[in-house]
Amino acid sequence: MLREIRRTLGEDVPILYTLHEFLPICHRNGQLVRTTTEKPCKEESPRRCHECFPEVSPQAFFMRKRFIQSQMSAVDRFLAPSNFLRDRFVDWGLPEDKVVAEEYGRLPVTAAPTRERRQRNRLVFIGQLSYFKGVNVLLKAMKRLQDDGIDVHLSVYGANLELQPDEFREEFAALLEATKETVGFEGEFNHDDLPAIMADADWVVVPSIWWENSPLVIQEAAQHRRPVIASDIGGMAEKVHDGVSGLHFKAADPASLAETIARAVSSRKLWDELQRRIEPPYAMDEHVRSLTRQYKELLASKGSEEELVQPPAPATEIEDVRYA
Amino acid sequence: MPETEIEQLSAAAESAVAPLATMLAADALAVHLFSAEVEPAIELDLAGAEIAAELCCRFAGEDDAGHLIVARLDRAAPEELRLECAGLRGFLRERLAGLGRGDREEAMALLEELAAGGESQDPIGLSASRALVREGLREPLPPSVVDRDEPQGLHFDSVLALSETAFYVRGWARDGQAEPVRLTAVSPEGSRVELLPEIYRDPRPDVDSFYEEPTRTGAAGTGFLGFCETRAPSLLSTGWLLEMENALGVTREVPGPQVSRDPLAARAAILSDLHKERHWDTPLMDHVIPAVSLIQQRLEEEAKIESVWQYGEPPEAPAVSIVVPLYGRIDFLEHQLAQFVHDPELREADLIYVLDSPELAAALENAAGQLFELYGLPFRVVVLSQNGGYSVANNRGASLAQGRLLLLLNSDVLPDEPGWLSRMADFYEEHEVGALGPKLLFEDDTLQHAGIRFQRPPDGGAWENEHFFKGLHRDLPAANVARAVPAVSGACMMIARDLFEQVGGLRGMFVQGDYEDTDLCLRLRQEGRETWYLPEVELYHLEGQSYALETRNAMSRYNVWLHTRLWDGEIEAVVAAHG
Repeated sequence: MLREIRRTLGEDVPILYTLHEFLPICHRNGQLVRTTTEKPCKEESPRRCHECFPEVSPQAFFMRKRFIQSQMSAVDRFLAPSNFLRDRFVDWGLPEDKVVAEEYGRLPVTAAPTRERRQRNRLVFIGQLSYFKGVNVLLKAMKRLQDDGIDVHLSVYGANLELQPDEFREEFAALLEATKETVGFEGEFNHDDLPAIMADADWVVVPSIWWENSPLVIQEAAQHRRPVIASDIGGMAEKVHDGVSGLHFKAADPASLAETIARAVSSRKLWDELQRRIEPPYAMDEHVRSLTRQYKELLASKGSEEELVQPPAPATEIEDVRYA
Repeated sequence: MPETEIEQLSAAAESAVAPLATMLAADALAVHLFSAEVEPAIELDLAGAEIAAELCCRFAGEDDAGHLIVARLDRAAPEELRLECAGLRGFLRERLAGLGRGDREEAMALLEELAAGGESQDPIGLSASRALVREGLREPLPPSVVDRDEPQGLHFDSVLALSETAFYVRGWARDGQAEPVRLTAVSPEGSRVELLPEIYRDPRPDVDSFYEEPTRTGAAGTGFLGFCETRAPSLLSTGWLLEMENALGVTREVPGPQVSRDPLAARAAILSDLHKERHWDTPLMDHVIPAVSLIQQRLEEEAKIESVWQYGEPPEAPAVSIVVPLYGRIDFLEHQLAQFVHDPELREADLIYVLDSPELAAALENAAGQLFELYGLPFRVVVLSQNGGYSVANNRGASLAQGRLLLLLNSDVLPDEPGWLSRMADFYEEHEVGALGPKLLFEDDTLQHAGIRFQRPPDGGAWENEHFFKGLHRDLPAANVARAVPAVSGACMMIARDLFEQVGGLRGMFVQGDYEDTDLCLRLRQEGRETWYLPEVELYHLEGQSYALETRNAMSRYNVWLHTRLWDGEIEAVVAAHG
């Protein structure tokens, strides 16, 4: 596909490629989570990939990698929305000078008002209801908190439950049942409702058991000035600074998450401090300027005389935001 | 009775009795003359046809004195001639059935000689006639009955046809009364093949236990199997017989099975017999080698170049022709092109893919055009009419090569970096070696190949190919020295095209891509040319994805034993020279 694009465009046209996920690296839909241990993985190799997929030979994995890299060599520059993602692709073999970290830009929004209540004990989960997003880890933590009599409430927003394997759905349903005193399952939501959802929440929880690259929900939390409780790995650990703009817990560990939530809701002061230090997300205007500058750089490096005729107009509206 | 063409056959005026003739095939004739003459002089005027070959035998009986003449015509018999002929059954009944046993056997021998004597235009007709004659004239032996109380037992398990005159037979024979002294396989057409003493005897504990006897082993084994040849072609699928005679003159016969004619099934069956033996020097190989070689030869002959597709402008005066057989996995083509495209040198090479899986021709045609569009690297695709195996595919591809140098390359080999081809070619040109092989790597960056040496187990077993430093790291200093080695892998081997042609290319006697490479290196050595290893060139060899493992095992055993039988002495010398 990339080679076809290059062939169509010719050699003089720069190709920039935004890396959104890890599919080129990992045969498990790019999850970078081992099938053998369900632990996140940073060390792909023909042998380790073959361990995850015994039916695919190590030789086939080697050929897969060489083939994809050959196709990707048609690209002049890769943009990675997180340093973590950039590092994974550089480790994997993309030339270091070709991969540039460039966060997704955000259009300005008005922050949702903070709740009037004294206690900061309302949590929200926004994302795909899938195994890798760790929603069941969060529900297990909630069960512990409920059993300990901690005054805390969680709203769960998310879609695509019907696409998940039975095993996951059954566990999810059982956990919801067990935590019905403290957890509200709200199902799918409309993006327009996001300010209202945020207005009703104090904390956003991002409990993924995989690395993530740069979760949009973290940026949205920042726009609405909500501290984030996130897994201490990958793109989440990079975008949420522990004790600065949010709190980390040990990924995939319900006990650690429960402890972190208990700490979070126990002190209003902590919330205030974290909230004060949340930095505004990368602005769309700046993002567009950076993209334009990079594109011009590449044009110049290709020795192309042509000026960029029409700089891409800044987007004014994001129509379809998905939580990947 | 009016005078006929047939009557004109006889110039022996004093022969009072009219001859009778019959057609044996569209172009073969049998004539019986009652004549006491020692050599009846005959002139043949056969409505325009000519006699191409003529054979005669004389029956000496008092009343039956006469001659049987069989002749092959130079064309199909004209209609006038055919109309004068009697039917074969009537001919047998009237003219030959009354002969004594010896005369009848002689008549059959005459037919066999005619059949063996040259190409007939109607081989099936001749076969059918010979089968009829055999059944009409032969003296059936007592049938064998397999029963514990019967001393004689006989069974004909299988007949695998290798060619029209070569067969691989299996069965068993036992005699509780006296040693069998004769075992004869009789083709439907009447060709008799004596199986003793050359046939390979193998133990048949199943049979021996049925007869409540201990298992007989070695040369006394109850079973038999092996390669045999008929003098005349045998084309019929049913009608084989097996005869046995013991030292006391007791005889038995048993009908044979349907002949199996599928060469690949036959090859698999024959190779599986090797599991009966443990040593390469076994007499069983004397049967397996000619049998498998015939199949290989046949497959090789049938694998012709069916078509050649050129994609892109072929390079002018290429220095190197790269020949890559594609077997089973045509997706490897794109994997290679996706790497070659990063190397400008590959644009200057004569890149030849040889499709050795003809059933994939349509799929490949579809893919190859698109791949050329996408990668823009010129290449050719050569499609073989039949699967011919590794050596045939390489030889066919090499026959079309334009370059002075040939690079034999497997489809599962990928270069590590650009520049490898010219480095190999430069080294080759500078040192004028025989064969040149690069460093080959496994997918985990360990050494797959750094040259090949020969090693045999201490018990004098077969020589095996050992790869130097296999499994060690690619940067191992000892593996990074260019040097002469006993042999290199055919997965990536450079050789001058004229040298390759001079030694006759790869030999097709090995089965499916194994040992052809060392066989070639050893033949080059006989020509005084050294084999070299070049570590500055590194490629990945992602081997073992094309064949199922079990099939490879049976083939490997054959190949390694054959290799040792061919080269035992030479390898001793190589080992003495290289260590």
